[in-house]
Amino acid sequence: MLENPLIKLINIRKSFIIGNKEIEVLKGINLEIYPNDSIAIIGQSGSGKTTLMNIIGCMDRATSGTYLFKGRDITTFSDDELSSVRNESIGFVFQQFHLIPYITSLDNVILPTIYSKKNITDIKNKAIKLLTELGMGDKIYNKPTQLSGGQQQRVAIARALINDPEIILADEPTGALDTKTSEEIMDILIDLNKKGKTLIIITHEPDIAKRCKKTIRISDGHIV
Amino acid sequence: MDILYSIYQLKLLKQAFKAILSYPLRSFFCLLGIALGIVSITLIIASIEGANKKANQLFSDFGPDAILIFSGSEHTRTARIRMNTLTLDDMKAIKELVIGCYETIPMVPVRNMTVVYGNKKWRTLGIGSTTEYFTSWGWKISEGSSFSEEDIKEHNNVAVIGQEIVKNIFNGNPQSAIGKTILLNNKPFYVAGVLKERGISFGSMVLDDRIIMPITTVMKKMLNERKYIGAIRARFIGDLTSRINDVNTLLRERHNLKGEMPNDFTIRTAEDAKQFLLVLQGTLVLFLGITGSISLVVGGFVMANLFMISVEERKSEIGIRRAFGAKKHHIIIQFLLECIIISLFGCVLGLILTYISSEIILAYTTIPISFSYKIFWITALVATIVGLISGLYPARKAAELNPVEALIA
Repeated sequence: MLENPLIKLINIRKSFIIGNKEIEVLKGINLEIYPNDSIAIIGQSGSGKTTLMNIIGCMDRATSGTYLFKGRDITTFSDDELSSVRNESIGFVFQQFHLIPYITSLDNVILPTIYSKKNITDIKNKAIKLLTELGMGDKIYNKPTQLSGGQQQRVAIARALINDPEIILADEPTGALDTKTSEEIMDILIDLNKKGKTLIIITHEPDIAKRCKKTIRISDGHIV
Repeated sequence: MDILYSIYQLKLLKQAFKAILSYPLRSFFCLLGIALGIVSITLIIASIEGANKKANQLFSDFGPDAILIFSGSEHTRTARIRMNTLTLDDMKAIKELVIGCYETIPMVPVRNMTVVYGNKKWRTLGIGSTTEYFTSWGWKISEGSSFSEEDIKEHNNVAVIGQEIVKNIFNGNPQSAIGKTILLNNKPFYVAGVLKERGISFGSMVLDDRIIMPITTVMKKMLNERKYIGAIRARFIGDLTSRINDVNTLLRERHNLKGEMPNDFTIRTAEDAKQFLLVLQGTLVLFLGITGSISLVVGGFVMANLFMISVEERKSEIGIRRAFGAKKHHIIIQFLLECIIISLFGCVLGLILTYISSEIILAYTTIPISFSYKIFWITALVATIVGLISGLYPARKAAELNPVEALIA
């Protein structure tokens, strides 16, 4: 591949101190993710996949190792700089949707733009357009509690897209949904990948993983 | 950069407003806490301003160049013993012998004077004096006229009545009083005029509750008194302190007071009256100041506590915001804005409550209260500071949350 990797992890280790014991969750992860990849990171619970996702998503720092993001070493980035990376480049989709309960779908979608320095003109129309494309055009002023799980996840996907990030980082995006809705959500995510987004899905379901171009299996802190 | 930053802040302001409206109970209790504190603070400021205004009015009403000499010593006056020691001759002597004295007015009080008209009855303060009484004390005649020099010469039964008498005897209609005959201590008097309302009172004494009559009529027909008068008002040009000394020396000499013997008269100036009023206000200010500060501090604590709980409740929201790129300072600013906005609304509610309570206070007590725009700015500033201080700790705590842990919560 001629392109430079979007994400490059070199010997990433992460350990937590629980009580007096130091428990190593990631034991030297090496990983390269290229633009427009679609990657499933699969593993049992406790395998360290969520920790890996947090590190890839710049939500958490590795204990040691190097993380190159678009060629830049972000291991040394400050908290504010990491926030900017998340804001500009990463769109999260969570298992529990994580919408703010007291604001409307529209306001939830707009949320990432509050913290953006990009001067996106007509944010509201952009948000409405995204929601409409995802079939939520008639629910823009509903609050999350008035929506079904599938609908909430669509709002969450619209939110992940509003700042035009390169990467969609989905943590068990279908984990709280029934089979049919899961299919629909996966269709949307795969479609986004076809349109150029780099897709990283953390899952424990082989069926979901099958739909991605690559599958990385993680077990006991190692990639196998 | 700065412009972009302010754009943030506007966005964050919107977020803060939404959060405030979404947690109405929390917001309401915070608001109420602050409002009660503001009520106390504004009442203090308003009563200080009111007292100053009243003191200044008193000062100008009394006349900065005037003194009042009462019969009886300081001691007997405080013991409420009425002694007549001043005479009309004393007054003449002051006018003629004290340098700079340009006006002297005698006053003879008739305390608890009964007023009867038809089936209406009232008790008031009667004062016998000269025609200069009205101009010197700044009393204006709103209806009819004052009595004349001729009335004084001929001991005529003429009276000028205060608004309190009009209210209680003539159903508040001053025109109907003119020309009527009323009984003052069972003697018929012709009502020649009505005094313009002053609306001031000192403690239980209402200034408008008085009737002025020619001094000759009062002394001869009511009190059967030829020599002694109750008080003298005197006005001077030049340094008042040295004039007071002159008056003191002159009266001691005239009353044959030698050596260590105490004065049998009392001299009062506008300054004395002002001091008296300010001392009274001082205790009130101290009391209100303490309660005001305490209630504001309590209000601040309520807010800080409720926000601590709120941060706990909204952990997941904070995690979400952080995941989508909120920096620590965004979180801090949002929570601080929530606190400040609530404080400012609390301030507005407080001012409304103060206005209502001041109306009640003004209606039922004699505590002077006066508002100015200054109060608005002071309380807004105080509320902002309280909001800022109360919000600081919870906001910092929210910002320092680990985003991963917050999200899971």
